[in-house]
Amino acid sequence: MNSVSGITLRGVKAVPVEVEVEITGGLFNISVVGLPDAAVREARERVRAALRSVGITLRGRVAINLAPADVPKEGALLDLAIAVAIACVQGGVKVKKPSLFIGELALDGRLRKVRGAVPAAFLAREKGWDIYLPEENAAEVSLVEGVSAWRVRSLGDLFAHLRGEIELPSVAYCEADYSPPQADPDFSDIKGQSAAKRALEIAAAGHHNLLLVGSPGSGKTLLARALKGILPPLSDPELMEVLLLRSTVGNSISAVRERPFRSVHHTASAVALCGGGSTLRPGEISLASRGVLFLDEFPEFTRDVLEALRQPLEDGQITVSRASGSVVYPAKVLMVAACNPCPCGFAGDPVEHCTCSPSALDRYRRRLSGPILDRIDLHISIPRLMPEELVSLEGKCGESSAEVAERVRAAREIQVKRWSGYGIGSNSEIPEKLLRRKIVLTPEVKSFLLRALNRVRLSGRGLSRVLKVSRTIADLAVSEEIMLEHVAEALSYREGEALSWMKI
Amino acid sequence: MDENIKTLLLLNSLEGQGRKLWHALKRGQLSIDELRKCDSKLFTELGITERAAVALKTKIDIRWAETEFEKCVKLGIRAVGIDDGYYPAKLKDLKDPPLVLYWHGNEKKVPLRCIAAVGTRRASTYGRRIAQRIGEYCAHSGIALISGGASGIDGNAHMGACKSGGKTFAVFGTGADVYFPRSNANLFRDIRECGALLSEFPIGSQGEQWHFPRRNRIVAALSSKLIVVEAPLKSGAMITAGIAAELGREVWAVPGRIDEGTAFGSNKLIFEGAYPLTDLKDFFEASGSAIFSNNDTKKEPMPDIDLSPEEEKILKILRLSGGQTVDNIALEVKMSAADILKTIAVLSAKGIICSSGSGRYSVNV
Repeated sequence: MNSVSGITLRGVKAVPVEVEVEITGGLFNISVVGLPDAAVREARERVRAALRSVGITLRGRVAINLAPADVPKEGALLDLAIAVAIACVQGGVKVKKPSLFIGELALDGRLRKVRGAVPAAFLAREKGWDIYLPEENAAEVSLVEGVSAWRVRSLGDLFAHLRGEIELPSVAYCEADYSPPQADPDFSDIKGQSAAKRALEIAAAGHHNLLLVGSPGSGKTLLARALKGILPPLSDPELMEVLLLRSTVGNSISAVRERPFRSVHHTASAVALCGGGSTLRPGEISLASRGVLFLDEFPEFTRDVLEALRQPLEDGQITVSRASGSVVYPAKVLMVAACNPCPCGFAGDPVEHCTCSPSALDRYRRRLSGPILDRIDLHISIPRLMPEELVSLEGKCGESSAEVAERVRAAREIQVKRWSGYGIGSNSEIPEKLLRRKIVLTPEVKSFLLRALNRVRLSGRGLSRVLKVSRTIADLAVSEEIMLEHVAEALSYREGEALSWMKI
Repeated sequence: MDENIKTLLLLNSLEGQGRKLWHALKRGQLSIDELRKCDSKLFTELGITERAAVALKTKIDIRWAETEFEKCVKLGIRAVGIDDGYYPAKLKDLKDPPLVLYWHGNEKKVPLRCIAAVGTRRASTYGRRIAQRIGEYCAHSGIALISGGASGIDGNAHMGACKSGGKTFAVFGTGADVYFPRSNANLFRDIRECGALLSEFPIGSQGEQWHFPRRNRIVAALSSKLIVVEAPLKSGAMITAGIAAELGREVWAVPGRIDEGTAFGSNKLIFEGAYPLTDLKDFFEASGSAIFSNNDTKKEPMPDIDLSPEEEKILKILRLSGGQTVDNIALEVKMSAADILKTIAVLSAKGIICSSGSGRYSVNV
């Protein structure tokens, strides 16, 4: 039998699909078995026309079996494997080495781009197989090291290559560029807002989730976008994870180590955010993995969407279970939530007046409160700058993203060194047990914290959060000891502070 | 079980008509037995309406008073009758004092002298801050704070007093067990600890619109000084101020901006002769010495704290003009934003400055 395989996707994993073909006499007919979905079944027409274009005319009964038979197959990327398997039986083509073939066929025999090329490349590398893929997918696969891949422009070329008539171009490994991507917007592009910039720096350094509260037009979205620019570049394993996810959904891929930034509209459903659907696609939270997930108008998200976010935020991954099986997607995001201080947006503004009724305020606040806020370490309010304040800031652009990014990188290095033995990468992930043991405060700081606790009445979880943020602030200051000023600053980002002036 | 309190509960639930009957009982024009029988002839003579008589009869038939008393016991609410020793004497200044005060909380007695702080629910950041400071000062001066438990000024004043360990009493326009607004439920639980929730309305009463002016008269009567923190022209706080003035209580008002609707009422009070509250420290020193002239337990509201040069620098800027952002401060002092934030954090942890609106800071008054 031939060793022609294609793949189908299960989550972000490629499952090998062996393609078997039998052709017998009789009236012309093609049938595909092995749980094909509509796209796979329609491959019959594409494959027949494409084969015709290279001079292979099908006759008789063609039975195509996709093994293993009990795994549902999806997508058009099996076209090529089917075509090759048929050609092996009828067209005098030989596949000498076990190989993966992926690609969607055009009627004239050209190959079209598919999603899932990177998972397929991973599979090929793992099994030591060759992989043949469409020209357009070559760029993403070139970022995967150690794959013997061939770029295929058309079916004719491929058959010529398999017959040994020509040599297809191979895909050469090229390492992703380590030079930091241009930050857009850059920190120096944002006027003022030094307090918020500082909070972003802490968030980036310790991987702390962030809530921005501010009037319309105060610059919440701009700040959230700027966060991407101060995060350290993706490491190799992180880059692979991002590649895998992007390739799975067919997003464009570039060879930079820029972290993903996904902005989600508040009308998004829980499935869109967390992944799922009948064909099991990763959600926004997975696509933002290793990067920033930005939720603007946070209180407008429906309750079940916010509730659904809780578990992945805690675990860094999300398990989507469906009748057809369950898959695990990575979901290691830095969440940035933004909201107005009240429905009209002007509560606490020095000039504009809040026109919200007390009951409307109450409703709004109730939507904001709850367990999801507990997962957010830093709460900051963003002042809407008055025109005269903006003018006075003219020409004072502050630090650039690159300078801040350097401090963030240094702080992350300290954390990795400290926590690598415990299997965690950042201060925000410190488990409760470790927190009590490893974060030791001097008596002076302890008494300060106790006094503050009496005043602000922090919950147990709130206290751990303050301690974790204090640790990050101390790391940014390259201080092994947590000082009073670090704790004081961490306290000022505590839950509710940003909203305190609209309480009661 | 005390028959007297049951009668009072019953009559209290009939509002004005009940008070008439109570006076008749006091004057001996009516005996308890006659009341129980709902003698219609006698009732007409006393000027009791048909509707009230029917209501009374029904309530007696269904043993309403007994059930009400049981409810009180179950909820841990005390019913303090007008003839009870714990009944605040100052309420009798009113021409229509409540016959029963439902009382839920640890504090058994409203001190003779206390300060009421009232104002709008749609308070500005400034108003909320001042209200909270008044509560804190009350706590530090050992003076009890009375207010209406509403959101906005009332809630912030209560919160300030509670958090600083003072005594505070909230007078409800609902039943003492009905927490309105719901968002203040936690605050009310705290007030039960460090003061009491008071109401003249039966257990489970919802907040009818006409309840709140009634509630205001109790707030006014219980206070010895009333501070209107921030109130628009037409508001409950203005009604309270009117009643307080009638009862001969000192009325104070916090000056507000003259272009802000939320302060038109309180500013008008000043124009009409209320004392302007221009300095909290002075006010409480004066109140403290007048009210508790021999009180040793009086605490200093603001203890002296050693400040670092950086803290002094920032404090100086904020003293000059409040509501500054970190950027504004950075323009004035040569410090990095991170250092300014740290200093601000330490200063606010010490209680010297506070957040005044989104991302802005002011000196605490």
